[in-house]
Amino acid sequence: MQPVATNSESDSNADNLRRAAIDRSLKGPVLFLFTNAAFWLMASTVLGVLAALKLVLPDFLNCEYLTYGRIQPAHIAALVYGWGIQVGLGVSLWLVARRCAVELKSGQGTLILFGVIWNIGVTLSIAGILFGGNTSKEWLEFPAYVWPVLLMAFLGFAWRIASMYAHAQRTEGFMLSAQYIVGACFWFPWVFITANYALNHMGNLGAIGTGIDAWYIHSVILLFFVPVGVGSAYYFIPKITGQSIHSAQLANMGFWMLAILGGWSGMQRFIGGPLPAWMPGVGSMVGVLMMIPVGLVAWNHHLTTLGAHRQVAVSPALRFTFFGAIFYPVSSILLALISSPVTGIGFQFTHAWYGFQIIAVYGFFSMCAFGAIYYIVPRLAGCEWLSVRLINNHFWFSVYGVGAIVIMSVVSGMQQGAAMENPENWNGTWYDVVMGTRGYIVARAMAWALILWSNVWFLIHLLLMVAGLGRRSSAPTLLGHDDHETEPTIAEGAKA
Amino acid sequence: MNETSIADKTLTEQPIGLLDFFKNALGDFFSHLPDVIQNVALPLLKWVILIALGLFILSRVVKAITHVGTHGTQHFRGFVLALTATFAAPLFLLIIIPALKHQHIHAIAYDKERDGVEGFYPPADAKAGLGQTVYAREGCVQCHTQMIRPAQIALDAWRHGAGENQDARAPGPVRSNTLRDYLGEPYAFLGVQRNGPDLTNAGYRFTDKRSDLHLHIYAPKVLNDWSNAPAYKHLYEVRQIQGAGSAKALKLPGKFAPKAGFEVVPTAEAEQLADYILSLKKDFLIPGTAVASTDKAKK
Repeated sequence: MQPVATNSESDSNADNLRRAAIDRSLKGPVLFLFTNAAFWLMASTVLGVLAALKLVLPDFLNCEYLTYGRIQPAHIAALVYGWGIQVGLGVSLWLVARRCAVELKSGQGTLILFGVIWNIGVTLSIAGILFGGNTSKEWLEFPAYVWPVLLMAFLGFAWRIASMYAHAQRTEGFMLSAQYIVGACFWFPWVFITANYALNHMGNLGAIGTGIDAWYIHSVILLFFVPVGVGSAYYFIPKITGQSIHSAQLANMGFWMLAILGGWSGMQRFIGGPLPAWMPGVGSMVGVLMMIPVGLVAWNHHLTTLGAHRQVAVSPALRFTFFGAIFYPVSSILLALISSPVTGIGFQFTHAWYGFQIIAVYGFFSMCAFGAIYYIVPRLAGCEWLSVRLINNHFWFSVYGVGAIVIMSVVSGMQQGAAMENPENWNGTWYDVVMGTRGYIVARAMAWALILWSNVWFLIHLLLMVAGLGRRSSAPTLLGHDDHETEPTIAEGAKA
Repeated sequence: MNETSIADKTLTEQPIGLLDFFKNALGDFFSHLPDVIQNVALPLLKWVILIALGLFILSRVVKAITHVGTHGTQHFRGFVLALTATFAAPLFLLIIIPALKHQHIHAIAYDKERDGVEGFYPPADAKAGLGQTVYAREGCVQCHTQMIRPAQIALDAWRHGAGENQDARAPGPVRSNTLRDYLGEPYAFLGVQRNGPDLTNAGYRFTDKRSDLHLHIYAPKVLNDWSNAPAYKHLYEVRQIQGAGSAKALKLPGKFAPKAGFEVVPTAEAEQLADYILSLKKDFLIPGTAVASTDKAKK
């Protein structure tokens, strides 16, 4: 297996024309997905602020539809289905088409229709959760009739992505990122069907059903968000730094270890619970073992970026992707901490679990997705990002916001776990748990507000781009102190 | 941990194996076979088939993975095959087989002599009613768990009011939960976080205190002014007092009380939710463990 050849000398004029044709053919569906996803991200962020506030001020805006028990699942549903999976599909579609050098010959309208169906599904699920259809099955809180809608829309995209991969024009080189993404498109429907069929139609599953639900959450993270995020990082890091992936062997091992381990984890959420002991046991083991494939990927990314860190400061796409790639091993460490029987008991049923969901879906996956958006959208919209300041704003508020949420969640998780396990509290009420975590939750609300601020500008910026109101220039918008108009060296590499 | 080991043993004695499934399917064909075949040859055959199947899948995985270097349609087939094989293992072993097996678990009858009680574990009337739907709809699981961890690893079982014994200091820990405690529930609400107390055995805490439970649901701050629980006011009706007033009206102090001449009465849904919470007593005697909990055997 040969490493990817990304040097710009090999780019002939014909290649550029072919790329432009692929981009043109994908413009409609991909921009549709990105724009809708950005709206859901906004919704999720608003709900995130509200949910955190509700934990401290339960009487704030109190009405039937806005209790914590409904807002929190709606917040997660908007984040996962509205933003995460939708933007993941957009990135996947573009990336596989580019990587396989296949144009979307026809069927753009059908793909947009599937996008509309997906958004209808997300709307139904969030409305369902808020207005009395909450089933309280974590991450599957939507009413049972929603899942076939979501599944159909997803399959509409996954089918096109897989067939592009199967008919790849490009036979030379290393198909690493496409492999990750096709894997994600293959795993997600399977996981989704299994969990929904079992939980909605088998009935009578008792505690096994709850275990399946925990498995579903971990599988969506490990077998959808991780492969799409890593696939996109494996594409953009070499592309923008202009250096080939350091080791094809490490990359291959990372992929297959993820494939082998990914489906085993989840039930460790109920260590000490009613499930047969081996099920959480396997989950704990895999939660810790996942550090190996994650470490391989992170090491590979590190070696690939080595010596090209200047581009991280300059290219917005690489900067977001790079931080996503850093959050990846961090989220794996957090997973190991909440999974291992030694530390997991203390973290069980605490805010640390929320911290893990946010670092995996927002810190790691979304940062990679933002990087991809900053790279893809100018090529589809035919204009460049308007403002360095807006991108900088988006970047710093996101990084500090996510960092704050995760640190606050983990620390308040420790506090909460310690208060629950404190023998002094054997006869006490939950006063220590409630009061001990209050400060951290206020901080979490403030961090979501920071992210809200960054996302408002991101959304406006994206909408302007989609409307074709971006800068008309041959030089991309770059960050840093350099005057981008006079220094187009990276620009050429990044444009390729 | 005598309790669970015995419980696990009784669990395996249930007719839930793959072999039993075929036995039922093929009627009494098997009963005519000699004992040797039934007890030795068939289990052996089962394992041989399982191991052969496992080796076959493993060989395909290895073949497919080594195949992945090449490209084109052939590559795609090998790739998908490898993905299928790697994912099928957890899907079957962790999800499908346990889920199917769980469908065949049923209540165990108590042995009057051994256990000192009659009936079934878990009792048939332990089924969750309509109130569970309200519990799910309001998202109570986001802050309340229904799972007690074993006393060796956590303090859940020692907490005041964790079980039947509501004395200041219970003589021993409450038992941790088993699969059968949740039998008959479509989905066990084990919970997401513990921002509030565990509710596994909450029924005992609110025995004879139904009005307190309603107060907690309607206005949690009546009981604890620091509470972070939402007030589910929409489950209650504020209405004009007619005649002597309803016997069910909530006794709300001070600022929580409605306007003069009005009273707060639980709706049908609030009553269902209260019924459900009062029914949460997941510490049924496990068959064969009566010796361990003598005070329960006396009942």
